[in-house]
Amino acid sequence: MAQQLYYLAAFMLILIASTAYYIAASILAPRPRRQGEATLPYACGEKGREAKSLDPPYPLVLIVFTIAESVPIASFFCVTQDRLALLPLLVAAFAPPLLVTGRRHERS
Amino acid sequence: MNVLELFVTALIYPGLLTAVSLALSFEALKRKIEARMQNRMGPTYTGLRGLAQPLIDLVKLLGKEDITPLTMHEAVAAAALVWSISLAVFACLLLPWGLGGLEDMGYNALLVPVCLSLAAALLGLASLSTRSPYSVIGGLRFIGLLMSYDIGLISLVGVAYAATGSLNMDVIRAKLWEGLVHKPFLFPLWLLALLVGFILVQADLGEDPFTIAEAETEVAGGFEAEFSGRKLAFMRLGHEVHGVTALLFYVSLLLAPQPSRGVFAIISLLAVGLVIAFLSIIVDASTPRIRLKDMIKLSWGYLVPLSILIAFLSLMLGGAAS
Repeated sequence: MAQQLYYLAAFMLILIASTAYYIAASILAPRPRRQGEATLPYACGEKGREAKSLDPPYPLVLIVFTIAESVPIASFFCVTQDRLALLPLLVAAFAPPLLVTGRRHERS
Repeated sequence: MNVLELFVTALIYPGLLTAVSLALSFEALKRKIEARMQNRMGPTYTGLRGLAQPLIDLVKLLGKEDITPLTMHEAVAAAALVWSISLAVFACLLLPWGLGGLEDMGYNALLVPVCLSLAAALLGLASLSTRSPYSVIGGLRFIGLLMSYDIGLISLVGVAYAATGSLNMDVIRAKLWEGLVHKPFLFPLWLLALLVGFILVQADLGEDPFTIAEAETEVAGGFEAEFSGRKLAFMRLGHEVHGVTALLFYVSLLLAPQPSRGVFAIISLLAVGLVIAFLSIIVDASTPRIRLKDMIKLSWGYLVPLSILIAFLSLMLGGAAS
């Protein structure tokens, strides 16, 4: 438990130092000269067209990331805990996304 | 460990200062070697033979005005960048340096690549937060590709685990060679893992031929397109620290430089890391960028399944032998 607390404390120290650098840089850097005249991001196409902005797929990214990360980690725990019977199930769960990704890009 | 030791470990060695210094040194080395290979001088003005140029570039960017699009989620971008660099530095702190640092919890071989993956995903998230079409496309590419490399790296831990029976990085570094001698049937798989791992590290470093995520000709600068000033500085530094940590993780995991304890452990780790970095720079300077379609096919279609297969076979054979 003490070891985990050291890890947490070390990470928090790094995080605080990085945040301090970021805040110091934001205080010391000059203000944008044309602040208040900011424009929307450029749209693809002619300048006359209405500018486009995309809504970021935050939840989707989080879900895909969690699923993708959990498979190898879960596999390791299966092996190290002698629960090898679960491994084929994990491989079976991981195979369809890989096949779909491969096929989609073969078609494109 | 007292409070002072914790501060020194987290902020100086092997924490923040060490990780940032290593990232900037790698960048300086890359610029000089690549320039030589392309018959140029490279940076010459700042520091000894221009080697301090990446540091000056970073300081310059930190002092520049920060121009952001109106649509950007400012808080998300700032938080993602700061957390990303912190996680990459924390992963660097957990490497088996052999002297000082935090004691291994017993599963740091998994914790390090997970921290690296999360750091990469947060860089991508920062790109998405701009809501600019260029950055969102670049960010999605970046997340998809970097996640595939890191999942490959996590899988390769299986070879080290099969050889040493541990997920403790210190034990892996101390006993990998002994384990391979006692289990010679793992040797071909280790060789394959070494090759696949090098390709994955090259991709993690963001070097050619794997630079498609930031291809200027295709997505106007990719995931960095809408960043400037301190945000661009943090994004670049985060990416560089991530790459160098992945390189040293690969070296510790699959090459296990000896000795594994004492001052010479640090020197041997950095020396072998330097050789791999040199090879990586040569590959970067001598190969063209590959197309996105081929890159996705290579990473998700071949590298990830191959890494999982190597891990699976290693664990089966290693488990059967013990």
